[in-house]
Amino acid sequence: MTLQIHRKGEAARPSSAPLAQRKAIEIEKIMKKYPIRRSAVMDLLFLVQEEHPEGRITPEATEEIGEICEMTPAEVAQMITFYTMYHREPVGTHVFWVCGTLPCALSGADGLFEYLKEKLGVGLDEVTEDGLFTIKRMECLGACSEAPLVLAGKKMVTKLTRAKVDEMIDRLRGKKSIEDMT
Amino acid sequence: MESKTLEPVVEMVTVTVNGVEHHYPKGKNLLAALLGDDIPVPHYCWHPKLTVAGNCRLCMVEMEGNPRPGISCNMTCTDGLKIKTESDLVTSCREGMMEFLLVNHPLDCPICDRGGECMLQRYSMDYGIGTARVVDERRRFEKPQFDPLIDIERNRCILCTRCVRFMDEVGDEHSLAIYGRGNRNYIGTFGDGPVANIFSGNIIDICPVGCLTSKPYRFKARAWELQQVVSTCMLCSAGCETTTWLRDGKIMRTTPPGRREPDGHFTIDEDTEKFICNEGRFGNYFANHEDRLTTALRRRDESMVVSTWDDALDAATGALREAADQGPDKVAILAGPRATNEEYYLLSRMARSTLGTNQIDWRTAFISDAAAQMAGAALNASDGDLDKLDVGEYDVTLVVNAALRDSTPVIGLRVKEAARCGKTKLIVLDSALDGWLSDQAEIAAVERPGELGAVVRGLLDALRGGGAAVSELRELAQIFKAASSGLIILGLDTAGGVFNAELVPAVLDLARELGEAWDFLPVVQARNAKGAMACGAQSDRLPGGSIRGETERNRLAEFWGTLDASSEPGPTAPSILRAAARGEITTLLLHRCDDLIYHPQRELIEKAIEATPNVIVIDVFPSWITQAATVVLPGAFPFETEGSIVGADGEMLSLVRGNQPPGDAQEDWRIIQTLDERLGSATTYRSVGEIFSELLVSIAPARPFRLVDLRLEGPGRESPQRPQSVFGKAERPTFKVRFTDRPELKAGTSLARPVGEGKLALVWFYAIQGADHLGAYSTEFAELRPEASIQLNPEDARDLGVGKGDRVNIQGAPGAVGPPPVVCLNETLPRGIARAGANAIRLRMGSGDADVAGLPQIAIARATGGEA
Repeated sequence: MTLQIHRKGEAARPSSAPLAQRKAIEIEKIMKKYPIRRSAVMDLLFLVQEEHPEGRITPEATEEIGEICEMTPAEVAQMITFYTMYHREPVGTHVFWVCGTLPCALSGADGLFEYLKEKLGVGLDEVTEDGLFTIKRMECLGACSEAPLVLAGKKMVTKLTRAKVDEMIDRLRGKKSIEDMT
Repeated sequence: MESKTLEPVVEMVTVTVNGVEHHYPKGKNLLAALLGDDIPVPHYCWHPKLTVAGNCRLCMVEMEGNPRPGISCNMTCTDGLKIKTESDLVTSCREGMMEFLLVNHPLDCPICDRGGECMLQRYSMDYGIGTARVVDERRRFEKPQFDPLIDIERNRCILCTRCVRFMDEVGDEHSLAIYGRGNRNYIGTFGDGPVANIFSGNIIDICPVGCLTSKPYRFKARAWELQQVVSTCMLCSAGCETTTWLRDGKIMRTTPPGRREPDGHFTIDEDTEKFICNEGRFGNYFANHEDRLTTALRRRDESMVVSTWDDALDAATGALREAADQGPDKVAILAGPRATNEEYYLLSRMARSTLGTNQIDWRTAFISDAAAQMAGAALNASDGDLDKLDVGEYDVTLVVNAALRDSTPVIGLRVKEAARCGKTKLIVLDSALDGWLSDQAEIAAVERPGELGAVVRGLLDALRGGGAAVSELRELAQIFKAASSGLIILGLDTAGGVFNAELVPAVLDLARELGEAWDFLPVVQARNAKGAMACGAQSDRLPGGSIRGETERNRLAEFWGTLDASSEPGPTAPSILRAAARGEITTLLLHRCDDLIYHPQRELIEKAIEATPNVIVIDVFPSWITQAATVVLPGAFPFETEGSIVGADGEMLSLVRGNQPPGDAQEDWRIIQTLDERLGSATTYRSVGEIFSELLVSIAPARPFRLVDLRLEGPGRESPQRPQSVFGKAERPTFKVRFTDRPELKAGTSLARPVGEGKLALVWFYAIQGADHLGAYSTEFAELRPEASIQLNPEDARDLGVGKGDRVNIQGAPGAVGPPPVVCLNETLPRGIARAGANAIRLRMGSGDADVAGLPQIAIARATGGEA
């Protein structure tokens, strides 16, 4: 007799998804933060998105994450579509999030948005030819006292002017940091 | 046990509704209580079988002492609660909500399939303001491909999430979700792929608006022009109550029982336990197929020619008489799986009384005499009750060797729901886990096929305190000992019943050891197996009891005039087929033998038909068997005939006639009756009710219900309004046919045939999805079914060089026809074993007994050019 026993709620077998193999250490680290596996889904989505050359989450990655977190792909995709900072379409290396709410608009955000589009030669959600930039709209960035502002990657650039836009783009094109910009 | 039979004491509270006091159980959902009292409260998102979501906001009621109205679906009945369902505030809330829900609605009712039974239409009329103030462009979504069976029109969706919750909670699949955010929210599957669940069709019914509609029914008809026939589904043995909707004699759709509202709207009963499977919903279209047999046929030389009924009946009668005159072992009747009790009763009468033979049997699906004998013995011990499972009267449910999801989906769902809701502790013992039922199992044990009997014996040892047993078996024995009652479900069809010889005796021993409080429910795919047994269409049984029973014999002799058959049991169906193949039978009557058409022992059956001089077939569709017959008599489908059947757990169910059989086809009972008359039988019956009354005296002398309750009398065309009980089940008199014989049986040998290099032993199970020829004739549905699959152990698959989703050809001794199945990996499957539904593989085994001693061996190779 070679009886195999499976019990309700027993730990699932380790996932065989390529992502689980490739990023075993990172996933292990993330998983330690949460009591149940599905709680880690948002961290894993960022992990995958940052790793991807086009900065997006592919359907294949969605399925892999589902397997790792013990969720169905439909549930994972639900998360991706709900949050604006997960991308299913390609984005540039640097994403400019332009604030679209009232205080920024009153401070001239619309004009700066048009200027940004003109300068980069792309429309909303498009990627520049060199693959460097994408402009996206966001609802309130939560710093209305500093309006108008833009979120460039993870760096908030406040009290935005055309000059600041020029500088920001020049620096990023020249692979220089914008961390010291205010 | 005692305490279980007592009703729990429910505290009643007083709720004042519109100034009138009502008494409800404390804690009951307020909306459910109001609707139960016929107090109208509009609602979309609340559904009696699903959790509360509270997102449509339409069921708002005014609460005294609270300035804001509250949603009644999320309130419970508490003492002193005072609410108003009709007031200015409530009216304005409803108007506002209706206007909000309709902001983006396309108002395309004239082309919407939900028209006439749409809750949005209905509430717009009842509670809407009648005009739209929206001047902006309405939001539009692209229409995706979505599911092959379900059409999605997102513009009509009101985001009630009923479908999402249904798939989460009942389908247990999490395949539907809400995507996006805010105004751009929409319902969908991952990548807009198919919903892919055997119960997915139910989301069509529970969608309150026109978002999810049936593709096969699309643009076919309007609800109000359809005739409803509430009857019993005959596609598997679960015996679900369904409504078939006909127009001009054509089946338009099938749903769970529906009803006509007082205001004329058609509604599909929300408050029913009975979600039906996709086969039951979409698999009935075969009745519309133009290939139906509509005339009697007779053999003339090499071909079948149209004949008059008179000639055909003369030929059939002559053949039967000739054979009966040669001796009782020269004539045999095989009864198919879809007949009614009345048909079985008449066939039994014809065999026993008129022809004087005991060669009548229904067990055509089994591949050996032992398998059929054991199946009969198991069914004779069957006293399990699914209603008791639903209300939690079984502490433990043990499911052995039963592919419930694929063979009898609704029985599977009931077991799974009971386990999910904590009404029973589920234990699964099988040769692989399906990842569906087994997900809800407390403990699921997997053993190689052929050794399951040994596991049950080990369990029995452990129960008796034997020390040698495996520790897990001791643990299971502890669970069984601790339970005060339980249910054992055993599948009898796996691999044509090849495991029955070892499993049935072991399981019956286990049931006996566990005692009276444990019920036993064997599951077969034959739709009316218990009816066939009860009505004597089994070689060793007469209507109402054993063939040896003096009381039964005397009673029947009185009814029938004579009872010539001996009191020695006749051979089982597999033995009859073998005798026929040896040329020992002169006349064979095949009544709706669907199982023989794709039977794995095709060679045997071909030989049997070839070697028998007269083969009379009563059937509804042409097949290779009707081509090879001598006389073909065209019969009728369940909804073209009246009658009763016995459900899997013994419940007496009715079939209601809603349609005429096409052309010259006749109801089967009339055909059998006429044959019997021409053969010289003494009694004639004028109606199904007459036969039923007589058979009822045989099988249930006490007769606890009236015929009209079974809807066998009267036209039965409109669905009756039925009162609802607290369990939400239709309150109608039920009568259960029970078999309680648990004999000690001698166990057969287990099979342990070594598997050759590169070969796999195949375990096949009956799968309702297109397993027989009716499936193929259901053309609207045939191409839309999910693809047939074969399960492999991942390591075996790697060794064979195939992966998940690959199409494979099955080669080897048994041979197979049909499109190549798709590979599924199942880690729980023991190595060297492949598992597939009978729909995936049309097996062709040899005909000798040696071939059924072990499992067929197959080789697998990737199909060329067919990568999924």
